[in-house]
Amino acid sequence: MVLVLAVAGLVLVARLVQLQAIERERFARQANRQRSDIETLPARPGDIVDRRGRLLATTITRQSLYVDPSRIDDPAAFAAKLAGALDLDATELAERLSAARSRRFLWVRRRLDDDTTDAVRALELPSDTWGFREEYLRRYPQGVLAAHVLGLRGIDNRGRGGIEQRFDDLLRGRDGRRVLIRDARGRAVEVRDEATTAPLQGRTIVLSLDLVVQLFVEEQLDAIVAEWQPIGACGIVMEPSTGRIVAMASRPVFNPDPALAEGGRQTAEGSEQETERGERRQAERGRPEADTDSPLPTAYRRPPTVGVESAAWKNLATAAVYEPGSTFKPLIVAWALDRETVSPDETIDCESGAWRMGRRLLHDHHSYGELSLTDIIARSSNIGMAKIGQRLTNTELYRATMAFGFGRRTGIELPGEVDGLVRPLSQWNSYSTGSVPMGQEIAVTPLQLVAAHAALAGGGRWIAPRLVLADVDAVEAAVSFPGPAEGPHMRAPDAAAPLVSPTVSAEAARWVVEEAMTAVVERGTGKPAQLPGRRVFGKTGTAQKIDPETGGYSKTRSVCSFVGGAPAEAPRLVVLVLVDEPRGASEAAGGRVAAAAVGRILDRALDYLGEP
Amino acid sequence: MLVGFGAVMVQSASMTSWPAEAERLYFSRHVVFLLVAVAVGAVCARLPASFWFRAAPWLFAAVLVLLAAVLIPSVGTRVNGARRWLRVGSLSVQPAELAKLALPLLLCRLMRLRHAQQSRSFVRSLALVWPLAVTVPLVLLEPDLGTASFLAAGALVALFVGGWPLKNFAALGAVAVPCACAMVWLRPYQLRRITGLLEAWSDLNQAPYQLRQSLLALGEGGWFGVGLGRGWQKLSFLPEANTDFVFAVVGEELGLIATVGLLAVWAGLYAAGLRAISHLPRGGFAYPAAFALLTQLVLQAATNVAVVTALVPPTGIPHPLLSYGGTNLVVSMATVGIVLSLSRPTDS
Repeated sequence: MVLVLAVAGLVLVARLVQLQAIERERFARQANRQRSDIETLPARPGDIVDRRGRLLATTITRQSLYVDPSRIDDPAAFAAKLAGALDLDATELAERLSAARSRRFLWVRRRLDDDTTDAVRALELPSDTWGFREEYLRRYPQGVLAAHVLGLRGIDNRGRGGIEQRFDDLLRGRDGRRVLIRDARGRAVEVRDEATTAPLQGRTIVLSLDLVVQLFVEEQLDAIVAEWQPIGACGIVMEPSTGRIVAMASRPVFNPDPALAEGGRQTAEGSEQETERGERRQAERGRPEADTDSPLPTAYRRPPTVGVESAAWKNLATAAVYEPGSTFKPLIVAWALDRETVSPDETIDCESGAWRMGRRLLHDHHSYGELSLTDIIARSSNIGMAKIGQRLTNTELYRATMAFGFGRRTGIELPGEVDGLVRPLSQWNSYSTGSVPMGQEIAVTPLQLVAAHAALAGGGRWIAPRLVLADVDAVEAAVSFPGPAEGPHMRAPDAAAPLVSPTVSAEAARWVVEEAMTAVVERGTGKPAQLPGRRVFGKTGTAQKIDPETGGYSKTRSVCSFVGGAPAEAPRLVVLVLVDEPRGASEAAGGRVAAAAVGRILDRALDYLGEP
Repeated sequence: MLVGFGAVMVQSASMTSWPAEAERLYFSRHVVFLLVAVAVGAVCARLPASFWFRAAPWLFAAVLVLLAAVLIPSVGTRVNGARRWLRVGSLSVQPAELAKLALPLLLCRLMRLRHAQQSRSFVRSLALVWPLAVTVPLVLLEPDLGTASFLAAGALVALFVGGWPLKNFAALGAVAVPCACAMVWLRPYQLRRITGLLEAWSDLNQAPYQLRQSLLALGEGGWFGVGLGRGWQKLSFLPEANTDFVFAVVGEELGLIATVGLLAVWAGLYAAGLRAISHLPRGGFAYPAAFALLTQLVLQAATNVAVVTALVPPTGIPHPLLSYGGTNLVVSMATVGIVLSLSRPTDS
């Protein structure tokens, strides 16, 4: 008997040793897991502000409604009450509640507006069945303004497009976490401070944009869209002295705010969200489709529910390429001057409007005889440019193209920028010698074009265009975010000096801007850009598009543009407006379609900036 | 003898603080129970051994009446689907616990009488089983399988030590084993307990909640425990932390040192108890009765530890002297008292 008990005792001791010494890790881990609950402390996504601190994108707090389905005695009655306040379908809600009977937590609807929040509170439902939890909601208080620059931040707190995507990590911050010790009933009994990390709030990004100038540009684009019904248009305003982008807009546009509020293209966070989206979609479908025939420009049409229309999503300023056409000519002339291939006071015979260059017959819009270098620009003579090209040779033309930053990304802080297309020199032929000087055979982004002209306006220094002010906030961000060990994605915007490269001599640049390009506006193709009291310089461009049927240049489809700035003696701003396929525009429409818009933008912006 | 009593006192004193972790109320009540238990134990120890010999039938009769009373719906109190308690005012009593005292005492008395008659009849010796045959079904009806099987085990120990012929055990087994199997088969939840035990061995996550939590508590304690009063499991995860599973709490808070130490204390208590009664005549009433009671107490502790460590299916047997619960405490102390009483050399 005693022996039996002794053996039993030894067995027990052995078992205890097994449980408490040998396997203790496993058990302890499980015990720890079952009572610890990691709660995320969401970081507030940072704001995006313009150069004067105006809010472009911000984050507000909204109440999200959840219920504890296991405590709801009568789902049908509960749903009926709640559905009224939430504008949901009661039957569907009741089904959701019933289906989740065994669960303790179910999102009913997230990020309610204040009225709905009050309405739910007023229902006075049993307090143990529901609750609000604060969640962040991204808002774009300026609506469509600068939509392409900003991009979107979804309900999943991921930036898509624009600055939101480019500086996603910086803006998003880093969620903190809190470890709660819960008892078996789920009540929090302790917060483990040592395991708590505070959220690292998202940083504020200061853009070089000026909201007011941005508004001027967007207004002009909308006017152009209304008048010319193009397939697209974009406008860029750049400071030649700093490389900062003051405004950048693209059409068609999307509205980031309704797209968010309506649950547009955001991916769902969970199945609840899924349902929620479905409900919204239904609500959306119920909306009258009259929008389509509305006189509003495409730009202001409500984006489709399923997502931002892909065309509207594209930022034409950085993600589209066009043949620059005549806007390219001043750059080549500046290069030729710099190389002393031409001199400012010489004249070139423009062959009365038609000239055979090799096996190619070149035409001017009007027939010109001897033209000064200024007039070749002012009248936009193709023949004159071809002759300059001939003098420069392909090698120099190629160098000029590269020096002005074409064929590669500018490095602007936006995702989706494209390189444009400059074929390698080895593929250039005698045809190129005539085409490149008049802005053909190469494809450029509008941003590249404006940056190249800013280089001229800035005295021959090409400065990489930038959108983010390398400012206090960025420097601060660089300090508060841990270094490269955390991964390169956490690095703050480059606070270093802007990337600058020389192109042509200051003299050559100044002559082209103050003489040739001023003449364009005073007496040439760019007259619509004239402003009383301001010396505006600029260059029109009308690039015929390749006709997909014939393979040659189309007579009816063209890209009209105007790039210009003011004041000519000390350019403060360079503005580009580019319109893709304005309907009904005749040849040489660059002036008519775009120059006036650039003039108005310059006028208002310079007034606003206090430029006399 | 003194050593054994001292160990018990120290042990019980140090362990009463356990239920206090759960709730103050439990603690104060436990102290009251403890005082009562010590008083009862002291009284029991004071009484002469001959008293127990004389009192055994009366005690047993009283217990039988109580056991029957429990089953009467208006008298017995139902807790968790089992009718085990008699409630008088704020005081509740578990008659089955009292049976643990009465049954071995009666059996030993009967055997002593049989010895006196020098009877050799197999049938008559087999008839000694009758108290067992009456008590166990009554407890089973409550239902309380754990205590029932425990009573049976205690009774068997008493019979064994009392010199019951081995062949009788074989005969009893031939009847009892099929009965037990039938029981399990008829009551699916009993089977569930056994399969639950097997699951706890194979996959912890599939194990019944209580067993899993018990094992987690023990594992968490490790070598030295998380510290007195700092255990988490007992706060709510581990059901019945202060009664049947108090040992798991000891394991969590004080670690392997304490759990093994506690087993050592029990072994020491057992050894001391055995030494205290070693001088008694083997054939008398006192020795088998004391041995049976002592063994029964230690066996109860061992069974409880086995349950907590998932070695045997959950039985609902509290840890003697350690668990919260008035009847258990009083009965345990009374057991000690009776053993002490019996261990005194008598002139009978």
